[in-house]
Amino acid sequence: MGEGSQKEKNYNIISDNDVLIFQPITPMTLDNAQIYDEFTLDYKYLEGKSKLIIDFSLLKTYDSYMVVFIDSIKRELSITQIKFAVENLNDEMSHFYDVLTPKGGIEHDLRRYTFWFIWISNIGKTTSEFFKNAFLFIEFFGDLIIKLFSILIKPKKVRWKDFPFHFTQSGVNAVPITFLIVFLIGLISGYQGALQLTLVGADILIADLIGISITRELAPLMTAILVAGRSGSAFAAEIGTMKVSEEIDALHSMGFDVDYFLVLPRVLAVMLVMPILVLITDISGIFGGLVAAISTLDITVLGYLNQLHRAIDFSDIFTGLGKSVVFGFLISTVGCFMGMQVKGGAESVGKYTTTSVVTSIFLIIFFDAVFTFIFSTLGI
Amino acid sequence: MDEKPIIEIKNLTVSYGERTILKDINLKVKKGEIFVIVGGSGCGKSTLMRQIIGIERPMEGTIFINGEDLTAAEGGKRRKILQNFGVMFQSGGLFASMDIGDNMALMLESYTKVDTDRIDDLIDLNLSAVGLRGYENYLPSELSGGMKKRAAIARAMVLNPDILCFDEPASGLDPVNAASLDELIKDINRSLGTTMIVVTHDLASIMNISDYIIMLDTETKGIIAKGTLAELQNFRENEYVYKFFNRLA
Repeated sequence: MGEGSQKEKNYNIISDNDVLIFQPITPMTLDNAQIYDEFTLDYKYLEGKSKLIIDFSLLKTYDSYMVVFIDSIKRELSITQIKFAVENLNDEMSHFYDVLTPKGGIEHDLRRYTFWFIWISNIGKTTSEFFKNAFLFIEFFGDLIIKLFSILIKPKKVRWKDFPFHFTQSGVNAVPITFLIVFLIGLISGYQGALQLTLVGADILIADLIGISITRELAPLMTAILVAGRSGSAFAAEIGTMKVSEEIDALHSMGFDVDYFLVLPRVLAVMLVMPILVLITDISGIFGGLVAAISTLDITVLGYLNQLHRAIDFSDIFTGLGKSVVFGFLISTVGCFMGMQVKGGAESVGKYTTTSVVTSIFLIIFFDAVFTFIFSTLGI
Repeated sequence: MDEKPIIEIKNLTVSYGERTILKDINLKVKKGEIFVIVGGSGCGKSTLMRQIIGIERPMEGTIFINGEDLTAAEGGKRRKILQNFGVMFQSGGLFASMDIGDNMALMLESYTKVDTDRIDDLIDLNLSAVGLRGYENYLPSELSGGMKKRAAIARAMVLNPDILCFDEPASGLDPVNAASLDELIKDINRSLGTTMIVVTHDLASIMNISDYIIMLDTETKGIIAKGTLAELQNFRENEYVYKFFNRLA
């Protein structure tokens, strides 16, 4: 054997003419992987050599990393001219190696996919999932509208027992937060409006600004967004969890129509509660505007209310209330639909709950724009 | 087999509030054996396993792992002791948002400095060991119940733990799949010498894999019987134990 070189006693590298002998000493374990990766990832020692021998005579401790170490060298040298041999593996080591050497299995790509591959395939998956869900939603939506009308003929089909619970959860319990939020919106709009109106000496028009914007747009919109966040997400999570725990399957097997049993009590509750909530928030928003007006402008409470009376009429209030019924239908339908789409486990529940809120808010704003266009075209 | 215990529990008592789950448990697990914990529903089998793997802490008593006191250990020392364990939970406990490869890579990336290519090789090696070679890109939801359990075993094995723990490995599986999982547990034990703690009430499993058995009692909250399968089949001091183990024969 020729002159040997040594690397901090972790292993010996002995050069013998055109043969390189590698003798591991430090335990060949996952903890020491870095030490041995230095060798396997850099084959500079093998320049000019025709054979590599791994000599295990000095190695005492090892784990699965030993198998990976041998296999990776074997694999990488197989595409070169360099021969490879393993020597002095004792019986125990040989047995360990034999047991853990990967074998059999299904056809697969050994390397996990790259970031770009995953990124592009995710775009494809998301797009196809979007269209698939859109078609399913349209089907669900249409089916539900038919069933809503069928209630007029056979009202007993719906499980009314759950109705008061959902009415309370989605409506009564939502009053404090919706009241507060729309009050603050009224207050903010009032302050911002007051600053601009003072410049043109039209202080009193603050009542017009607040009255119309709150009743026609802000109250229905903000209430719908809050209800989507509270109740829409709750419906998706409840129904999704029921799906995961096979409760929906149980309902099917018992011969119940899930739409009448689970969906319609929720949809009807939200549709009914939305105009009531909007009426309350109309008042709170106008009250917020009043606070802003009397505190920043030279306007009395009576003056504000008189101007409000002149500025808004029933069409302003009823367009807001009418829209809220549609928003309620959208929120509850989307929430229930997303819950029905859950498959697998808890992760899927979270995913569809989030999707239900995002979709509801998108649809609320989209339909609000449609309503605005229709009302302005019809001059309402 | 080495006679020095890899796990030793002294006077372990576990309570939740007023309710005592385990009382004065003493046991030793020898290195390399398949140690089976049996007992009726609610007797504290899973609680005992959760104590051993450090998920819960006892009210009283000490647990030694490889001679080190787990109950007194804190921080890094405790983490180091707990790295001796690989655990397969009853439902697998795989992370649903990650594919099987990522489930396994997580441990290797967090606790070792193994190169990325080697991580792929180690995933391949461990999946091959449990008969799931090629499934690294599958999500847990795409696997059957038996495959999920196998994948969970592969994840538990990935850091080469000294002790593998199994909570009800046969639950939710058909007899053929349950038996094949038992064979896998035995294979890993015999070929790699890994110590196994198996919590089960599946009679076929007990008969097939056990080296040593303890039986917990719902009434006394303690160990009602311990020994090899043959010893417990002749255990006439307690009628329930005798009947339980002789239903096997």
